[in-house]
Amino acid sequence: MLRHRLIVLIQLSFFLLLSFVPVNLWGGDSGPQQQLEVSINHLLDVLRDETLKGDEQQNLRRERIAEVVFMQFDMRRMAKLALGRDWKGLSDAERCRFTGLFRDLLKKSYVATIDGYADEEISYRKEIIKGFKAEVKTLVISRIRGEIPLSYKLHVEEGKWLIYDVIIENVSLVRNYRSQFGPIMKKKGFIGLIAQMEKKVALAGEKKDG
Amino acid sequence: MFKKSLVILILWCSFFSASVLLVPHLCQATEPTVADGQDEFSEYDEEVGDLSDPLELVNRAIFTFNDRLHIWVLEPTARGYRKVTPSVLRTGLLNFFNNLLEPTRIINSLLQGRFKAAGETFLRFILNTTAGVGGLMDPATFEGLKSHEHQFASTLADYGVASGPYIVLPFFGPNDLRGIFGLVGDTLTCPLFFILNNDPLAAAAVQTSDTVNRTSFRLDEYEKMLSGALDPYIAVRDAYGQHQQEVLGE
Repeated sequence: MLRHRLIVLIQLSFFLLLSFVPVNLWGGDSGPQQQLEVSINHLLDVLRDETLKGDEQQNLRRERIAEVVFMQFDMRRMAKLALGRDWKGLSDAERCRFTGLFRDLLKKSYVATIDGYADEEISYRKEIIKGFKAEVKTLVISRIRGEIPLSYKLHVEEGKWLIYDVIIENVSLVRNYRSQFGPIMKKKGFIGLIAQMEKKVALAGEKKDG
Repeated sequence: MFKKSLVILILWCSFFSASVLLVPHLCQATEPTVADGQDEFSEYDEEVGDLSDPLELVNRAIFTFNDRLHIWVLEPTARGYRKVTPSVLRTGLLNFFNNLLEPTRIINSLLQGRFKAAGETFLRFILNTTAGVGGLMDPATFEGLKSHEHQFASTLADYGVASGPYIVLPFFGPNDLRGIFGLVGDTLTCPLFFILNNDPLAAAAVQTSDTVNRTSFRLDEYEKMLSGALDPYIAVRDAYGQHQQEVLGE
């Protein structure tokens, strides 16, 4: 009788213990900062790669940067948030097209900006996790540019933490695009917005090596 | 006895599966439901700051002027300057001008009651002016003394003065009404102002050298930053607004 009670007690305490185990541990998932660090280290490898340096290698180098960077991005969510509630009224095909163009826009500006950084040190400042969302705050320490705060907002999907916003020097990328897309949507509608995006992407493609 | 173990087992299993169901990655669809949509977008619904732009038409014109000036005059000049000037000299000049901003920062830190920042900035100024040979070098940063960006605009904000409308200044770029008053204060407390003795031409020359020198460290950044913008004017205005919101916390 006593032995039985003991077994029950052990079983009860075991599953009580399990209730306090953070959800993350069950899936064996690493946290947002950990996953981010891996991507950023990959990125730094590309930026410091001697064989990719120089103007002639610019296209290839930027392709590689985009590859590494966008693997950790939830591009669809970023595009969705940047567009705002108008996203709800779009068809699947329209959403796909918009996301693709948004990615191209980011490739031109965001990737090009990263391309200018090579000797920088990244200091991880804070990791805040709230349920399915997280924010990782870093500091880019550059000899010539000083300290630049760089934060990432992430959400988790099947154990993988994906970025849905980048905040550079207190300026959110998603918010910045939203402020631009809003007036254009109002004035020219979705078709007009797409047209303007295509024009910008084509233009940037021509000027690329300028 | 068997029944009891079964009950325990069932309890355990149901608890386990309930918790597992709560884990997002195991059952979340790739496209969240419409109900979720409401929460998703609301994160970005909040209007950032209260930067109004009643002067948009004029601002846009000045913005375009500044934009052309930057791309056709400033960048090429800075690029040429960088080619012929050793980086040691450029860094020295950068340090020199940064050092001249410290007295303004000390005054404003004091006005905002930030005594620790004032003290640290004072130490920076003394160290860089003496050991840094007139501000040409920056041993203070090496010693771990941090820089505190406190200028008159932030002091005014601290005292509760609202930003006023967004104003794009020729040459100086994005600002607001409060910032313009701030600029006046900053200029009056800059040591150079006394040295140059109200000579506008000399002041313009000095300011230009400072700007060209600073730009030489950031070639192409301006263009890259705006290369992804559909409406550069709005992109800059929004970035300015967001930055002010964060830094001045209004």
